[in-house]
Amino acid sequence: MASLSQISEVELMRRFVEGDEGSFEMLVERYEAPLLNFFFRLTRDRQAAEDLVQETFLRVVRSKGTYQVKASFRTFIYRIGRNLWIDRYRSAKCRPRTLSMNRPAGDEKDRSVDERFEGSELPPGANLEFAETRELLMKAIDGLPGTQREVFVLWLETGLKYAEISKILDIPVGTIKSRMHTAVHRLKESLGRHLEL
Amino acid sequence: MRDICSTTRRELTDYLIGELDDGARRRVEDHLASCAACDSEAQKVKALLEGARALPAEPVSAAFHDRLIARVRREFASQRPAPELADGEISLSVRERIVLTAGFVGYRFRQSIAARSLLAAAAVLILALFVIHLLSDDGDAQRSILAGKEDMLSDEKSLSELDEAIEQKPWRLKPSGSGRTDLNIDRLKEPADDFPPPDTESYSPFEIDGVPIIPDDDIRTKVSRENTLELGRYRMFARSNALCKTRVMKGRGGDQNTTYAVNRGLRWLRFQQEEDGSWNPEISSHSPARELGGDPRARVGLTALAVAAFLSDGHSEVSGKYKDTVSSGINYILAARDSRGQFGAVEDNAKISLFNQSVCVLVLAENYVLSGGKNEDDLRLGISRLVSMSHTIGDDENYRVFSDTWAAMSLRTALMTGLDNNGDLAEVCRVVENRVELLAQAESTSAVSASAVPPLCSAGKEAVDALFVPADETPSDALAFPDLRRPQTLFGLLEDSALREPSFLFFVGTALCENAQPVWAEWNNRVKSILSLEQQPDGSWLAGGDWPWIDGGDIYTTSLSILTLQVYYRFIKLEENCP
Repeated sequence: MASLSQISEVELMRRFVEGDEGSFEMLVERYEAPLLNFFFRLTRDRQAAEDLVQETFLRVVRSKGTYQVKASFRTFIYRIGRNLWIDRYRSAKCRPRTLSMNRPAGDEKDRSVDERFEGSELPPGANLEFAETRELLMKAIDGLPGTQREVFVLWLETGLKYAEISKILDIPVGTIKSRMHTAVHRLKESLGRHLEL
Repeated sequence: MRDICSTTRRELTDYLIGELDDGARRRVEDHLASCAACDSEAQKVKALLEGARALPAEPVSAAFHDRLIARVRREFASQRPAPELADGEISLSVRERIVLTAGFVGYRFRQSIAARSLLAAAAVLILALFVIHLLSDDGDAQRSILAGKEDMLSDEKSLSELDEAIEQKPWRLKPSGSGRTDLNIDRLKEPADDFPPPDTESYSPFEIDGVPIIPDDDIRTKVSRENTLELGRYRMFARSNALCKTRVMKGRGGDQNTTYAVNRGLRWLRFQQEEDGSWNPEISSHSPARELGGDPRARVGLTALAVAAFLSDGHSEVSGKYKDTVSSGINYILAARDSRGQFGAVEDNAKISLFNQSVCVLVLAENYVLSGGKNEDDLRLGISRLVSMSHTIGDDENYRVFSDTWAAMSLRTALMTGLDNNGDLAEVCRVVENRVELLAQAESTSAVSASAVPPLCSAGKEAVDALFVPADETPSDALAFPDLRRPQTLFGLLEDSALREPSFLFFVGTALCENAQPVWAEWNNRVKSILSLEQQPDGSWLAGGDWPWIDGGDIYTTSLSILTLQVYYRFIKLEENCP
């Protein structure tokens, strides 16, 4: 008999739909951390991320009747979570805090991170092991346009394939591919010399 | 750049994250092996992706996990079919829902500073309606207030959210004991029925129209200052005698507004009680999505604190309309006692352990007096444990006085049970109070100094007055506040909500009221004003500020705010016929 940790998510969800509430708590334990990081990367706000995680699980509980056992639970829950974020936190005032401060509308998207954070003491050529460079990378991710950011963050935090991301976002794989490529290109340009090896 | 280079670079991301089919992957690999420029570009993208993957993850805290699980379980409960109401049980009336909803809407409304202004305007409007109603109608004034609140209820969504909140804890809609049918929100909002104002300014709290209200008119000659149950019964007499309570309260600066606030607060607390009798510091019915952030380790102590608010109004396990609430709360406390006599042990946190123990012993002692000797064995064990803990605090300078003050108040109350047969308890109490006084003089934080007031009152008037230096003068050396960067008196702290810790108001109020310090009248007026402004429409007080002691959430804030407004009659004095 499989141990609890080996039971698939689909099976846990099936048990929950049939009334086993303990199975859902196992799903909570498996997904609370990935979801928290997913939302945190999108919002850069710990409290907002926690609220979204909680609301996502509550939405899953309330919509258990619509869950199709054959569907991937991961796709199911991230789709719910992403839609929540769209609903509540995608307006301009809820953009990630790091770049929303001091940013006049429309004048920043083409500037590199070096320009945006002019005056920082990051040494040229620093690689991504430096904490400062990691900070710049996070800020660069925050600065991505929303459509590119959600694709990149979804890939980053879930490791999902384009096909699954396509189902979550309900857009064609080709669009996912294009946004991912554009996002990486923009990040690379933003970090510029800090990616020099 | 050649076409092949351009094509390869467009596919680098897909290649590096494994999204290319075999043919495309081999094509990219072949090109990278022969093109140094593209290979360099690939290394950059690779470094970028690896760096992104290595970004530090946000950890899931144990507290968040616990809250999440608790919230999910409540959601499970809300989806289960509601139990049928049995005979004798009652459901919320439309009016009760309206009142609850008004509180809920009010809470949501105050989430922004701008909304506060609108709320203030609404309050003025409601007040005006209230006055007009009084002048034009002989109906009861509460209908005007409710009518004003009904006007606020145009948001159907809020109503549905309220229903959702109520359904999460269906037992709150029912009386907690058999035969109890007195849940009437209108009555709870009418203090005048229970507390008629005294008909004369010259009165004695101990007699009415010349007839003693304590049967034994010679009782004051029979009780001593310490170690007798009679002392306790005497000092807590006003709690359960409406006329005595009214007179004492009025004489010390309380009024119908404070009684009204207390009644609303008690009602809110009663609705927050969990099925097991406890109060959960993390959960509130303010909003289904709102978490209070209280420390779950202090649940036993916070439950006792909530029970203390009911005891202060004369409700005990055996009497008062909230006796079922008190009884189930005390049962929860008793169930949390271990073999050592420790209530709500927190092995890794001495401060919270002492807080839990102190408030539980205080509550059991007061209930023992008010109920005629209930739970004596548990109380004896609890006192012994509390005495044995008197040397365990000390590794955290900022909290010692605060913890010890709770212990001192608890031990002082325990003295009123008469269970201290050989005088040991009285001696320990004096030792603890002396230590609080010494530590207060050695330390400098405002909350610590404030918490030292009750013991300092017993030490002498001069010591207390030292805490009330004018704001433009430098405080005395012994009780200075250098960490605040400017002279800060206790009155100054009243104006800063971030520093105005709830127990600070309770401790200082208790000390000044009981000892009739010259500053009491001014202090009392300012505290009444503050608590009146901060009380929520549903009767609670919200947690807030950056308090150094304990994060107890709204239960903590509300319980202590109620206790602060009860200081007028919690204890009457032996020495004076009239306060």
